Order: sequence, then C-alpha cells, then structure tokens
Amino acid sequence: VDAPRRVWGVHQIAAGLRFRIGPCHLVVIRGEDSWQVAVRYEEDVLDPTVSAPVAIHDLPDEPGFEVVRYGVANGTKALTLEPALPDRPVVARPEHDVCLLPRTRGDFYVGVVLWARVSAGDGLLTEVPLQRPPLTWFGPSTMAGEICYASPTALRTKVSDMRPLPHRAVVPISIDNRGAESVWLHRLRIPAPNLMLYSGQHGRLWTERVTLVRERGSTGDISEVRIAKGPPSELGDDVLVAGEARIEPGNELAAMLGSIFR
Amino acid sequence: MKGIPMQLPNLGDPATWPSVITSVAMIRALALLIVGWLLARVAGAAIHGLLVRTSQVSYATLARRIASTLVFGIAVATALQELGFDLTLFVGAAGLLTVALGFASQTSASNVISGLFLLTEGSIAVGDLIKLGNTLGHVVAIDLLSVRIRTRENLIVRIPNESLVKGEITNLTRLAIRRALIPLRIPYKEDLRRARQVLLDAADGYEKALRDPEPFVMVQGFSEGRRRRRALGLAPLRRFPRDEDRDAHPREGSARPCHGRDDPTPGRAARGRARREADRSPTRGLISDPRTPCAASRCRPSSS
Repeated sequence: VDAPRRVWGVHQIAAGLRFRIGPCHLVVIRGEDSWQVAVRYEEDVLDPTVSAPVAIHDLPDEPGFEVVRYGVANGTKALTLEPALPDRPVVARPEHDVCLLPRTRGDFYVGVVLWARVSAGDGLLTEVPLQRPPLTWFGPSTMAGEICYASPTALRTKVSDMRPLPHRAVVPISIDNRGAESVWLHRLRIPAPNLMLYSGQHGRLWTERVTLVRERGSTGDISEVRIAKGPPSELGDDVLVAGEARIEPGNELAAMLGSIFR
Repeated sequence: MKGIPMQLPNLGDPATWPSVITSVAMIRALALLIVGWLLARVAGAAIHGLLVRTSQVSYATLARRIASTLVFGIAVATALQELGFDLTLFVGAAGLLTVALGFASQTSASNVISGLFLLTEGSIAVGDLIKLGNTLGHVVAIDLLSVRIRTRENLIVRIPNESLVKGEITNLTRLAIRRALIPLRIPYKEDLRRARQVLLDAADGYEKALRDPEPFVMVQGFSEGRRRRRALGLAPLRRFPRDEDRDAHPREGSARPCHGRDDPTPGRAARGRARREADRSPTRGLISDPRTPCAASRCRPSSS
C-alpha cells in the first residue's frame, strides 16, 4: 500500500498519533474527555514527505505547533483522517496567457491544496489545510467578487509537469471553444467545493474533470460548466473515492460559474 | 299586591363623588398606561423583527423606537383624557411649544435630519469600523441625534450626526478587501531594486496577502536629515476582520518594530516576535496581521 493511502482512513488511537503529510505535521492526542489537535508547517511547501502514523504519548516538545483542544463525549478510539478539497473556489493562472482559437479544445491540469478532515469517531473535530493556502480575489472589480484561494501551481498542459505531492490534488480541466472567436485565458476559477476526490495510483488524489464550454455563436463568456461524473480517465481502473464534495453540484452551478473567465 | 319597599342606599350628594371617580379614573388611566407600554413593546419588537431581515439593523432599531414611542404616546394621551384633561388645550399649547422648541433645539433638529440622511445614504451601519478625524472605532449604535463608536481603547465616543454629515467618514469594513499601505524606510546606500524584490518576496511568502490584486512597491518620497532615506510602501491587498481594530488599521510606521532605525533589514528577533504575534492572533487562519510583512518566511536581509 502506498504511503498516502496509509495516512487516510480510520486509525485506532491509544494515546496519540503523529502524521506527516507534505509540509504539515499533524498530531492528535486522545484524552479521557477531550482530544488535542496540533499542527505545524515546514517552510518548504514542495516537501513530498509522507509517513505512516507514529504512536506518541504526549504533544511533541517542538516550537511552532498550534494546539487546539476539543471536548469529546464518547470514549471512542477511532481517529478518522479524510482528505478534502478547499472550502472556497480556487483561482489558477496559466504560466503565460493562453489563447484558444475557434473550434479548439485545450486540456489543462492544476494543483489544489488539500485539507485533512480530522474526526473522533463520527464527530468532526477540525479541518486542517496541509499547506497554508494563499488567498486571492476573483471578480470584475475590487468592489464585487469573492475571496478565493490561489492555486499553488500554474495551469499545466501536461500532468507530468506537476510534481506528485501528498498534500495536493490534481484537477483536470478542459476548455472547449466551439465559438467563432478566440478565447483568452488569463485566470480560471475552479469550483473546488463542488468536486469529489478520487485516489489514483500511488495514492495521488484527483478530482472529476471540469469542462468549460463556450457554445457556438457565443462571443462572450463561458456558457456552460460541466463536472464529469466519476473519476477522470487518467486514473485508469485502480480508483477509490477518497472524499465527497462539499456542495452537491446542481442546476445553479452553471449560473454560479457563468463568469468563470477574467 | 303591595311590594316590599326597597331601601336604596343613600349615596349622598353627587358633589361628594369626584374623589371616588378620580380614584377609578386613575386606576383606568394606570391600566391604559400599562397596556399601552406593553403594546408599544410588542409593536416595536414586531416591526424590528420584520425589518431586521430585510434592511440594516440601524433602520430596524430606529423603526422600533418610532413605533414604540407612537403607541405609548397614544396611550398617554388616552390616559390623560381618562383623567379629565382636555387635550384640545394641549394641541393649542403644542403649536406654541413647537415654535419655542424649534428655536431652542436647532442643533438637535439638525442632528435628527442628519441622522435620517445618514440612514438613507447607508454609508455606515452598526458593526462597521469607521474613521472620522482622529477617531477610529466600531459603530455600536446609530440614533436620531448621534452615532456611538467604540474605540480600540474600549471607550464609547458619541459623535453628533451633524458632524458625520459634514465631515469625511472613512468606512474601513464596507468592502471585503482593502489595500494596506505599509510605509518603510530604506537607507540611500541600499539597492532600491533589491529592496523592492525583498519586499515583494515577503508579500509573496505571506499567504494572507492576496495574490490578486498584486502587491506593489512604490517610492513615496525622499526625506531630508542627517541620514537621508528613501521611503517605500509595500501594499498587499488583504482581507481584514470587522472586529479586530488592530488588524484592520495598520498604523503609520507599524512595520518599524521589525527594522532598525536606519536598517531596512528585518532583524531575526523582530521577525520572530512579529510571527509570534501573528500566530497568537485570534483571527489566525484567514486574517493576517498587516504589520508583519517581515513575518513572511521568505523575507531575506537586504544588506549583508
């Protein structure tokens, strides 16, 4: 079993467990009526280290840990660690501006930061970002728009250009320009809370393919956003569902994402 | 058939009745006042509950007060009538009183009208962080005559509405993001391009400084003195909380604790202190401490 897959799932916790997922050190200490969750980050955000949980008895005596105590009523010993996508949309930029000519289609890949959802039995304790996510603004002006997370990677045309990191998931994106005019891609808003997570080979996490379509005759913005059902074809057959979507995609999705390009 | 003669109680001369009637009337008037007060409370709460969902809290509060006052005023008038007061006299006197009060309370009237303008304009609302002159604080109440502000020192400052309408109000929390200007001093001997890059790297390594709109560095001016300096401003656009004055209002020269008097290099101790302060912040997570561009991990010394 690959290392990332050893991290995610249900663990039996006696006194405490320590995890390392990329730059994030995560420590969970189980008490009689309360659990403590401590987090510390390494400076190197590209750190690919991932290790199986290590049993510990007390909080580590290292500087930099942020500790929060949670009251837990049931005396459970089951610690569940699940990957999750960001709770806000993610904005990604291409390395250079991209122009899609009429009647062409472009495939891209972008990395998004993962969260670790920490639960004691059935009770969710907290969600911890595995890398401190930088914030950005997405909107027509600084007065209208929303705060999003900035993608840690640029839009890539090949997935092999992206380092496989345990604290990031890959979002495959297709842009289908069926219109008669070129589409310029400067920034892209990815609806991360609407996506699911799938575990591929070597434990790398992927989401469904997001397809942005500009219909024939349209000269304006993207007219349709489609989220494919099921894992992307790049994952092959060895696929596990690793995390549910925060928001179920519905009819309002297209309207919500109507102005996805800026 | 003869009936039995019934003896009626002798109630005496009606002229002796008023004391009894007065007592009954007083009880009635008191009952009217109590009922009126209760009705005023109920009407106020109902209107507040109705408006608070659709409009600002300040509108709802004002409407509640007007409704309560109106209902209770009617109750008082009815109670007075019950006690035998002739209200027509009051109406006549009210005209004169209005004229007299109008002259005597020009300032109050001005404040009332200004308050209505403020509410209509919607430039401030309860909870906003505003700056008026040298006063900075959260709006805790918008009344007919004044606006009350809670300052960082936890003082309540009452500002007449007229001053607010006449003066320049800066609302620091109306928009979701704002640009934080962080003035820094760079000695002349330093390479300006390198200093600029150090500052941009610092903003880049600070996850709460928004990536877009991009931070920028500009030369604000050149200062005279024994040690001449260049001044730089690093300005990441960032989100700030409504309830953290400290975060929302980076003070002039707030980055100085990170630097020596003439040296723009963030010292190790100062950097650590700034990071610890940022880490202790209750808004840690989404909200940053704007004083600490040098708390960023990639802040490198600009001079060796």
